[in-house]
Order: sequence, then structure tokens, then C-alpha cells
Amino acid sequence: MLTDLTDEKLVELAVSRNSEAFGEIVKRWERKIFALCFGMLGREDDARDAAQETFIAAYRSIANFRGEAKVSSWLHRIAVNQCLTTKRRAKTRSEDFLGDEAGEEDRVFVAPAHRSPANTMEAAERLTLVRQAVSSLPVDLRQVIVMKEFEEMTFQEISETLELPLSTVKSRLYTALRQLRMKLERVPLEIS
Amino acid sequence: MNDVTFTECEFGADMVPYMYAELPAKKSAAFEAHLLLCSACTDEFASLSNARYEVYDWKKLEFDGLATPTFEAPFESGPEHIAPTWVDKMREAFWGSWAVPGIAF
Repeated sequence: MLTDLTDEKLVELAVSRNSEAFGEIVKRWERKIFALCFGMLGREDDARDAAQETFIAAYRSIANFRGEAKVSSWLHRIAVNQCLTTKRRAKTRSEDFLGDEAGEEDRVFVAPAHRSPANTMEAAERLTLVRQAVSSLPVDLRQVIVMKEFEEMTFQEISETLELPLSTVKSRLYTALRQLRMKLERVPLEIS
Repeated sequence: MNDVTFTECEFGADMVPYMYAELPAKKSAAFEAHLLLCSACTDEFASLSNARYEVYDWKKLEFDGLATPTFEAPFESGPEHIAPTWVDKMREAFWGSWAVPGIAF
């Protein structure tokens, strides 16, 4: 079964024109690539477009994957490039007031949350896991996450509110995200 | 709590501010250029972005749809709505406009 294969094996199969193998790579990594794009671009619609472009570019260049790096690192690099391209386009668009509709015909819809019953249940389980992970953080880390993500406060505002140095606020958020990552990675979020 | 040690790379401390678009433009451009060269930082940034997005998505799905609660005060507020007490009435009686010159006298 494709789900049992390593990323590298899937790439090998995809290179030999096994489109299902590439589909499995997309399914495995679409949410994480989307999250990376969101981290770089800050908007879900831009992140969605960049993630789609990432997988299109990956498919086109898959024969060039040599295996020196992990498949995830390879995809991350492509995603970073796509995001920077998106940013440059947005900057040019804002300067020229011209739209950029190129490439629409190449787009394949890749969404991080399709609403099938299985995905709905998976999403509900994911929410429970995230809620538990955030709740289990030490209070000094949890409060920074809540103030940043829920209250949408700036680092400066958090620093003033908590009467902490700015650098401490940033390092606490960094630590909080690392701990969340470890907690969430310990439990598989995808249902096989 | 002591400040954590970021990644070994000098750009490690920029990851979180960059993620929240709170890095100055010059430092932001430098960080982006660095991501293209440093796969360790790219992987770390991807990992942090993933954790961050899970919280963002949780907030969006579980909380954003909730209506902001409204509160109704159980009583009218403001001095004009407070019924005068017997003390207020005595004050008015003894400290009314005619009383002041009388006392001063």
C-alpha cells in the first residue's frame, strides 16, 4: 500500500510516472506545506495558491530529486521559493495595479480541509488534540500563545502587558511553538 | 524562566517575528535570503509554522463562529436613576440655597 511507503520510495515511483504515488506525497504533505506558506505569507488564500504552485513545481521537477536531502526538505525549499515569488508578484501588482492571472489553467485544487465525513471526523480529532496540547503547556507559555493567536496582540503589546522584556516574549513564543510541535508530532494527526 | 537558546544559526531569533510579520523590512529580506541557503532553518521554520497553524486553525474553527456575548445590567445605572435616601433629603432640607446664607450669618 502506498501509505506504507517512505517518502523517498514514493518519489521513486512518481519518477516512473506513477501518479498515485505523487498523489500520496501531496496528501501526506499538503497541510504542512500549506502551513509553511501561511507562515511566510500570512493569508490563507495566498498560502493556498502558493501550496498548489509548490506541488505543481515539485511534480515538474521530481525527476531532478537526487535524494541528498529529505523529501520534506526538498518540498520546503520549493515552497519557500514559491512564497517569495508570490511576495514579489504582490509587490509588483501593488506598484503596477495589474492583475496576474497566468497559470490558472495549470492549477489543481489542493485544499487542507476537504469536507468528507472522514475528514470532518479527522478535523474534530485534530481540534481535540490541539486543545489538549495548548492546555498542557506551562502557563507562562500558554499565555503568550493565547495573547498572540487569540488576542492578536503585537509582541510589544504582550511585553508591556506582561511587563517582560521583548526578547523574553519572543523566546517564550518560540518555546511554546516547539513544545506544541513535539506534542502534536507525538500523536499522529492523520487517520490512516 | 530563562530565555531559550534559539537554533545555532544567527537567524534563529528572527523566525518567530518573521512568522508574525513583525520583522523590519531589511531583516525580513535578509531572513528570506537565508532561508534559500539554509535547509536547517527552513525545516525549523516549517515545523514552527505547522504548530502555529494548528493553533490558528483551532481558534478559527472553534471560536471565531461564536457570537460575542452581550451583557445587560440588571438595573438602570447613573446618579439620576438612584432614588434619594433620607440622608439626601435631609441634606437638601438643611443645605438648600436658603440655608447657606443663614448658616453663614
